[in-house]
Amino acid sequence: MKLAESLRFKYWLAGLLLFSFCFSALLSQERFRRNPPYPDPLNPMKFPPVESGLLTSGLRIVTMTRLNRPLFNLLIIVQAGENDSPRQLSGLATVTAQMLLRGTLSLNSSALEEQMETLGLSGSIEVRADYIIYSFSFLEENLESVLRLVGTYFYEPAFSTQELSAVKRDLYYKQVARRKDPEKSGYDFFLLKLFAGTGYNPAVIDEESIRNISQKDVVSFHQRFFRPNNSIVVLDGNINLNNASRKISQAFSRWTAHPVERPPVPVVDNLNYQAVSFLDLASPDVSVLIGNIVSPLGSEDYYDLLVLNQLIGGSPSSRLFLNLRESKGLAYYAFSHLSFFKNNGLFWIRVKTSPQLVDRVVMEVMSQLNFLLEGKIDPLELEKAKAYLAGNFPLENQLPQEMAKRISLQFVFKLPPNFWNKYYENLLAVSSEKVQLAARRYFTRQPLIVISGDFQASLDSLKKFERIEVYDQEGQLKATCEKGVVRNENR
Amino acid sequence: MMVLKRQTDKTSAVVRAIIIFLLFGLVNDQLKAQSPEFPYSLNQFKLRNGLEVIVCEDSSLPLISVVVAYAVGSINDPENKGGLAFMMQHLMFQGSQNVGSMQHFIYIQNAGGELNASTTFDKTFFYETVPSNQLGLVLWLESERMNFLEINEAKVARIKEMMLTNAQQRNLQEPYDRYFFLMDQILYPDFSYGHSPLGNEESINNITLDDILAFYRRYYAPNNAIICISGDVKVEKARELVTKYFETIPRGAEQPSYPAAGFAAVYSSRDQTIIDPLVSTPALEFGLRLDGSSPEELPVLRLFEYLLINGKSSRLYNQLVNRQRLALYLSGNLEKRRAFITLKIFLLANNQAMIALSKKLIVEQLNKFKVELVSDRELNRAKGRYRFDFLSQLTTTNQARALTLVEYYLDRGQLPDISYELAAINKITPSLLLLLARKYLKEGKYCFLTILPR
Repeated sequence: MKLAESLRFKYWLAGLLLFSFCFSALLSQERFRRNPPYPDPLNPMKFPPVESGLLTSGLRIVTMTRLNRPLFNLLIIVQAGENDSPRQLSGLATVTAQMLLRGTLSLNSSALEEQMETLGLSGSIEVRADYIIYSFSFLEENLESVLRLVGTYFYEPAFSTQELSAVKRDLYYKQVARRKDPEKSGYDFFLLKLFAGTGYNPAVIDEESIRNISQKDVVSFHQRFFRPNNSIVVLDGNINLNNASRKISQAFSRWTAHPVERPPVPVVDNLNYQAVSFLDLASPDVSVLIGNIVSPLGSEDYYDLLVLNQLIGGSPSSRLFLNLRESKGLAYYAFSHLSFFKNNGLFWIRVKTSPQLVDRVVMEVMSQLNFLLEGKIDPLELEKAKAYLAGNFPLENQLPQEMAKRISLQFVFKLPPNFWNKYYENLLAVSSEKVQLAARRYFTRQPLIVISGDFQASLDSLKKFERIEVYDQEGQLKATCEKGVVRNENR
Repeated sequence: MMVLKRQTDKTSAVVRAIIIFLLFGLVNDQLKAQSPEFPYSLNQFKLRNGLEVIVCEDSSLPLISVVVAYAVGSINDPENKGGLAFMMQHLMFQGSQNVGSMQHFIYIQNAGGELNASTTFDKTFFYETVPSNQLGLVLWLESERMNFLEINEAKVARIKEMMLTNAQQRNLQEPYDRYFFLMDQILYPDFSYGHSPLGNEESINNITLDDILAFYRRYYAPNNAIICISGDVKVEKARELVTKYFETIPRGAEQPSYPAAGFAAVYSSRDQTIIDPLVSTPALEFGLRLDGSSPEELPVLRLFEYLLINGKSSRLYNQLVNRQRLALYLSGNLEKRRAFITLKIFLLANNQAMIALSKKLIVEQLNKFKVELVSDRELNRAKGRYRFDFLSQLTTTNQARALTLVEYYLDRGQLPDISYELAAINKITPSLLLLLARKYLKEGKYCFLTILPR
């Protein structure tokens, strides 16, 4: 009896223990759902091995070795851009760049396209102020055929007049459409204002000058700048530098070197912009652009500026978006950006709003900039901004062509070899004091404010501004507005 | 506030947990061998509640993409309540028991990640890409909204207002959109297959909170979902986390089979002209339903798409844009809706005469496939592009890969065999294409919509 009772007790105890174990397990399951899990330690991004060498022609070869990928990326960077187009021929760099893919001496345009498609080759062209990037993706098995084909683009382009007309027409209509967009045309106007008087063209194209571009101009631009000693080839895939150099030197053997002279790019100073500029164009929405020149990519301030940008407007969780859109409902969106040119950088804010809210938008943006100058940055906010940038860095590089472009710009902007691999280290070193110092360096002077949209529709919300200069779509001053009083300019 | 937590049978959950613990590693597991074209290991397993899981290991970047897809889309919208599946997609961001409204965005953004969602004819996708140390966060968020979503009248009203505002803006900014849906109605004269996934004012207003709750309970269940995790993670770790967050979510009801299509065989309105004051440029739409195609024919049809419209040297692009300069803009593709495949073409032209010429040229080019063999050179070009696009989707980013794998799995119930897929394309001959063209390209079924400005 005692034995039976004892056994019963033991079973009961075992059952109770099992039940407690399971019940606590269930409770803990419910508990883990209440809060987000702690992340594992961040695994910093490491770039694939990068090697670089110079061919006898002066062509720089860069390889980014990535094993086990069936696709290759090929980037060719020509160190010339819209800043190298003569003033009366703005757009020449863009037209020349595109003409290289419009036929060679041995293949006309459609035969070239056919050849590209047979090789599974897709490509794009990006023309900036200081450089042109050709970016191609293709199957590994076609590497040698692709290099041979792409080589011909550079050393034997046809530049046919028929294709030139088509390229010019496409670019012209693209620019006309750009003019109608308040944000894009406002940005072009903003750039022209910031770089006015410096002789530097930050890649703003005047559509009327496209008509002036002749076949002779294109040939001359090509001969002057499209030289191996002025170019960089980046090959990203399952290949090392030796193999890449051999294959590229064969494929590009007929591309001949020639001395290339480019005028130095000026370092631009910020002015104290007392008047607001208004670009008057028909649009139901208004774009507000505010910003200043900052130091170039790779400068000592770079990481401080990166964090500053994230704090103020780098993403929807930054101050501008949260304040202007989410809290106050003043804008459709509000972001800030960093852009880089040779020897100069640009910090700029863009806000899309309605004509009735322009004054409140400008005041709110300025108060956010003033906060960076005078306020106390919350350490938690700073850490959140840094955490975002650290987490987002591999996302910025997830497209193979984006990673290859980042590596190629290291050479264009002459950054130290380990620059991107030190991203996390440099980011972690940014403090609120450093961010504030950077803000004071660049924003103590009144930044440039450009408003782009319908002037008459916005007039009621412009009365608080001391002075506004109103420009037409051609960039000509047509009126001034002081505290809401408009005075037309006699021209 | 209605809490949509499913009732968990706690005892059976415990028993299940013990069984899974004992059987860990023996759950339906499949490891796909690596191939030169696809150098990543693919793993697949299924939780006890029916949730399918695919894990693709790729440690080249410290990133993870997670795609959670539910086998539900506009085909499941109840009659007169078009737009419900799309509305559900929006409501999935409106908060759950432990995640506040719109906090899903904030959590992902604070981690430096990106997210999005989309609803198609028969699938709804939610996807995030984050640094790989945040996989737990994504799975926590996705499990929250799979089982603990909170919906109330206020949230529904907000989403309805947003959908209606967006529809108004779309009508103004993208006036051709409504004709894409009109073409669908012509091609699929049946509510389930042919209505707009975005709904319209009336159908959106018809949707009630009860409809939404019933829809959520029915379709947003683990046995109607699939998760794909692609990126810098080992399968063991992925399995541990998926099990932790999803295993105790109860299985939902068995899913009904797809609504059968009741299409009329007659194409009575297959050539229409519409005058629309909102459009500024004349446009032409073409549609052709390829009825009765078998899965084996799909690669041949895909190659046909490349030959006809995909790429700058495709026949239509070459003729309409490059040579005859009739079209200012041209696009087209093959669209799949379960058993039905449709060829769609859209173009913009300068004037009505060019639209008429384009129409004639499309018919000529399609009919040419029925009488002439495609040259080897042209076929090889199409194969080259297909191969590049196929491998690019599977190897370029984790997100594209995860989406492709999930879509493939939902359509065919298995993971792709990459080598087999590529070999199938390589085997296609000009005579196969000719046979297929003769079978499907029936001129009496070509549908045209001409849209002209006033």
